[in-house]
Amino acid sequence: MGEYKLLLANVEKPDSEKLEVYRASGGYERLRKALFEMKPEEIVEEVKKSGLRGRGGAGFPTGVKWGFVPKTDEPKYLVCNADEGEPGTFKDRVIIEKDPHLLLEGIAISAYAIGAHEAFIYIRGEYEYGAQVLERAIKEAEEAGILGPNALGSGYDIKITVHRGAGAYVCGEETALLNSLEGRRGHPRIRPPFPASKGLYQHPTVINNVETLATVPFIVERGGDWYASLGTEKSKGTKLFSISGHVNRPGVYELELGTPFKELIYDIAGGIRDGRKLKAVIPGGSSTPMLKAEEIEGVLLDYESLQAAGSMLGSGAVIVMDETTCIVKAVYRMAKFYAHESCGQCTPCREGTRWMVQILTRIVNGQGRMEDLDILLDMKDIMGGNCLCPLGDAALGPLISGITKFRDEFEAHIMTGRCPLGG
Amino acid sequence: MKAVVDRSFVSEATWQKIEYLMDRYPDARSALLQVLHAVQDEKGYLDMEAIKWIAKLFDLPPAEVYSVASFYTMYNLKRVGKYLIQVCTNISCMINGAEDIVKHIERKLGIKVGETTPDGKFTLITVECLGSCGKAPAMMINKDYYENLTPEKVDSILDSLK
Amino acid sequence: MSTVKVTIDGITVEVSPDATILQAAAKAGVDIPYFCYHPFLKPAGLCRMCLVEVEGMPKLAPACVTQVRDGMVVKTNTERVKKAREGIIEFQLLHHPLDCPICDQAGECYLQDITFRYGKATSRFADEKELYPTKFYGPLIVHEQSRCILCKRCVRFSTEVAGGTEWNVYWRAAHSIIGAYDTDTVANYFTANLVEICPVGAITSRLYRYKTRIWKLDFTRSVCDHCEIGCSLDLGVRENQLFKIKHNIMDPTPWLCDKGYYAFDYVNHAERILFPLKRNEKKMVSVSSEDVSDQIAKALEGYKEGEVALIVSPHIVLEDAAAVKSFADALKAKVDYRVYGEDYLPLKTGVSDISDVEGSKNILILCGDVAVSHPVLALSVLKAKFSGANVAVISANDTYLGERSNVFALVPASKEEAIAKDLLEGRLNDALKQALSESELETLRSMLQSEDLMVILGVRASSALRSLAYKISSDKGWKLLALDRGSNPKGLFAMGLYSDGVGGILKGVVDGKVKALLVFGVDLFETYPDAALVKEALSSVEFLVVGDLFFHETAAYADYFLPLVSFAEDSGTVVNLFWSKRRRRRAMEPKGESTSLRKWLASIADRLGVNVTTEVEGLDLSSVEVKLTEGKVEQVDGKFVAVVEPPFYRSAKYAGWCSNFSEASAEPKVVLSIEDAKALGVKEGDKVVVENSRGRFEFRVKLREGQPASSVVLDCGYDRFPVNLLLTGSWKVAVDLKKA
Repeated sequence: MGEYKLLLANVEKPDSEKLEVYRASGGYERLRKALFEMKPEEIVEEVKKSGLRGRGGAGFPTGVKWGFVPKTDEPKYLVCNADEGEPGTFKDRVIIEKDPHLLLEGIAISAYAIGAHEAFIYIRGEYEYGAQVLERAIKEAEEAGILGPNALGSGYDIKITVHRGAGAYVCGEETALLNSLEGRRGHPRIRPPFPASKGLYQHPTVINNVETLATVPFIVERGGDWYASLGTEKSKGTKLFSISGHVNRPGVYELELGTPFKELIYDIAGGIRDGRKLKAVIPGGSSTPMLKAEEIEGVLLDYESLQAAGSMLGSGAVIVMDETTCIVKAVYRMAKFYAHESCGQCTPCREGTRWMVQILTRIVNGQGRMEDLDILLDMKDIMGGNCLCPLGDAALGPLISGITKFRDEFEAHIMTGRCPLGG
Repeated sequence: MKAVVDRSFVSEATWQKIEYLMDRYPDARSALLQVLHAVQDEKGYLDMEAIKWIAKLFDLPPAEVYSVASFYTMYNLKRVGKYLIQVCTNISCMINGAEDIVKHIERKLGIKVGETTPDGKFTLITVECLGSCGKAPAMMINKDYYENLTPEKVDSILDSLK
Repeated sequence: MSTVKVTIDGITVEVSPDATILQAAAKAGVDIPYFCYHPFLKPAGLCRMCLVEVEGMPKLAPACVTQVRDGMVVKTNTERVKKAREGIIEFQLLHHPLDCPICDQAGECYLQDITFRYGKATSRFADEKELYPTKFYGPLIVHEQSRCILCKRCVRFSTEVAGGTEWNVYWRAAHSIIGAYDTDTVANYFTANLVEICPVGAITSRLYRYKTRIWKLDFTRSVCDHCEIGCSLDLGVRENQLFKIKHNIMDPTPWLCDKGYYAFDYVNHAERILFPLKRNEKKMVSVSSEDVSDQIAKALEGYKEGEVALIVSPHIVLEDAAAVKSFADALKAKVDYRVYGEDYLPLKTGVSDISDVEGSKNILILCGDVAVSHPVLALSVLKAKFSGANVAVISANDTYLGERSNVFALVPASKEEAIAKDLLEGRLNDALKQALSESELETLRSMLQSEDLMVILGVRASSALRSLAYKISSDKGWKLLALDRGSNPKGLFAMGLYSDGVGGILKGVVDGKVKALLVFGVDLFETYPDAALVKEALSSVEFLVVGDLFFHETAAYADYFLPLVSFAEDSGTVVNLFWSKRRRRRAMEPKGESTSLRKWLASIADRLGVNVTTEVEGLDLSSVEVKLTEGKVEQVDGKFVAVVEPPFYRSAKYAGWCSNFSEASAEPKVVLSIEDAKALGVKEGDKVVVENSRGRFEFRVKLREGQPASSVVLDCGYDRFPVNLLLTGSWKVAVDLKKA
């Protein structure tokens, strides 16, 4: 099927982040159309029709999410989740750094659609360059009268603020993000209440991923039906995939949903490096269960097909591991990540992730015991579904799939006290 | 009570930025993370004096500000070297040789992860995913990204830092 | 109100639609274990111990935060729930030291109890426990991070209830640490609650450390003796020693202050006098209880009408007061309880419950440091604030509530009363305007215009201010709460235990009109704001009987000393701040030959052939009438005007004999404004000399932001540091300061 350049159409142009370049290819005309020709509920309707689903990882239908916002007079907020931190994911960074105005246009249209006059871009602290690009772009657009009070002379006010995080993966979880945006520790909140009714400052709030919001201008321009015609019957549209690991051409590629998994790895990303064999692949960011080489046979890159294969589309972050990769070490490294990033509020996530690391450290160091594997697999029951937010479950993705699918490798580490791959 | 905040604790430019930030949000407290960034940008790290000053600015107990600051990994609550080397060791970087990069830097600078060179020039730490997985292995030095690292490339980067 | 039906383990109960599963389960009598839930903190859903199965929900639900639905079916006895509970307990125990044999929480530890009931007998943990060093935060609390289960009850109390303190959680993940920032001493008036709500042994009391076992204590419910709020306390006694105080019920609030919790060890103090004493030349020698009554009675027989007077502590119970009153009447003696030199009497107002405070929309606090004099009331004021009320604190000294309020002005001690008077009359004094920001002024103005305003007068407010506030609030429909010192002032007033003030009695002694004086439960040198007068009176009085627990400075002048019982050894009734009777119960036997005041008086009266009564049932509080006292709004002038007040940890009754408690305010300080300090050439921690024609004392400097120039606060309440010598009847005085 090959690449489909919708979101990435501009990114390779020189000075693509500048307003004049963006406007030259019809930039902000979709905002004009939305503000002058469409009612907010019509936009929500188009987005519903488009079948667009949240591109941050959870895949919740965007139009439905917007529909939860109550039609009241209280302040409402739109928050763009640019806290891209899921290991393997680097797709939003491309839009932020190379096509910031596309994101801003998407934010402005979406804010208008839900009745918000204030929007925040919560960008991870490490993306300071990206934050500067966005701030410059906001300034440019405000000075041009496109954003800010009376946007494009429509009478609609929209204020967009860039808010930098400061190093906490959990802030990608939307309620933790809201706490962080309120100047607090990034602790996920208990739900209900959901952000759509009580979010930022206890007011209705919609939180959408960068890629999701950047898609909105195209839906306004060409209609929900057009967008829905891309992709598959159930997984509509295009998706950005960040592919990394042992491939020849790692990078961000935009594909129609439903593109064969192997096409991405072997054609688009140029296949496995140094002619080695594929061992395993993580399809949607570190929290999605890994698939063995043979398991991706015939699998398509869309929500349903990956679910049927026992994993998830997630954020579209494909991590490719060749035959030289020690899965035990890979699982250990990811466990360490979750233990480091757990907010520490709830018992199962806090203690479970720490224990995982303690046990895996021993196994990696050649001091594992066979019963350790039973304890690790038991985490699925004692942690799974019992945590306050999805981080605990995310930690289980690589752990359970790694042990189940590569048990022999774990046993070899335990029995010989060494890595069979010499790692 | 009229709060008296000693403006001279930060430069005029930083103060302007702080005023802008605290005004930008519907609730001033939202600016806390940004103000912590701004003060750290100027001072290099956030010591107790800085925490207390920020607490006063926001009319919060210093313990509350420290509680927030310590939650996030990017705030340096202890002095760090002039150059803070942050090597990503997460999965995509790891399978592309990040560990060798870390070892190489340790050898080159004569320090372990978490330490600072005696001249105060470099501090080496490892960090979680930086979003550079496509150009792994990667690191940040202060605020700049360095990607597709090899030991040779690391040498020339570190040697170029004065 | 409509209700919904919920079925829990087959038991159907009707509950309010906003109830949680946990509340419904309690009604159904089904036990759901929890760590982080606390009935008076916002539910947090952190510990995940209360997970239950709800029909139709794919995941287990945390019962503490999951709201019920009509027809909801909940199961707590399934395999899934069992497994989850075992898992949570296993997680909590991974790094928890198994040091129960030396842990003071053992026996009342949630983790112990829940593990015993729901946990597995064995552990699968084969790795090293991550442990932290013990941290002693000053004389009151010990923190053991290793035992902490991170339920954050203590942090939630500190932020949600106490309005933000030095106590918080730092870092994150499994390495989250609880503790204090920037201090080694945690003494924020309410640390008691940290200890009380910690479900495990992570925060414990230093007073109780390694002393005894909870199951060896017999608990008796009584009422606190430190202020007129009269919180319910459970007194834990073993072998006639008081070891521990607990506060298990919401009466009047779920919270306790550090006075109630820590300032009790005076009861067991080795220096307590347990036998009667009589003067023999310069020495005091012991005397039998029979002989002492005989001899006192005999001595009193020689005095005529008006020559005998009694001074009693505002802490005595009504039964004692009845005896005092009948004894005084029989001897035609004057009696008064206002040992702090007050010339006002308690005001009965319409505020009849602490919920009136918590439900107020606007609260104006004048002339007092409420958190020191009536600590738990401060938490109720904050509760009102957290529900949206405006709180303004206008005072010459405030150490807690002000900085947590919407409007806060530290005003010059010299003008405090005038500012308060103007404010009550609707005027904003220039000195007040100077101290407030624009937005504070705006809030204050709107508060004064509101009909829903509660005025709280602190203990420093003069009689004139009290009368004025009473009249104005009656006119405007404001609510008024006038605070008094002592734990039973309202009761003693209702019993009629007042005449022309303690000052009047002392002057009567000096003038030679009063020749015999009986002083009970009070060291006048500590309480009366004119130590020179006290000294003159006590030196010149012919016959002096002192009854108390300790041989204090007043006792040193006595001809006879009678050992009294402490609040733990006596039962009785007190009247609280809201004019309701509260019942104290005896938790232990009187020590030695100490006995209650009423028994001593009865024994003496018996020998005098008069009767004393201890009958208080007839006291009808509803018929108490307001007695407004006249007086001028107080104005003190001078180069520096000082307010003399005990700091919190010296303000409890018998604080000097509560060693841990009083150590928390280790040395007397003078609070200075930054400009005065500059002019005097001193900085924080330096020493300054404070003097006037009557005395000279050295204090350690404490600088306070917002402190007005020329206005200082002097600590009192320290042993061998009689700051009252500087005073002349008022707690405000003109002084001079210079660098030591």
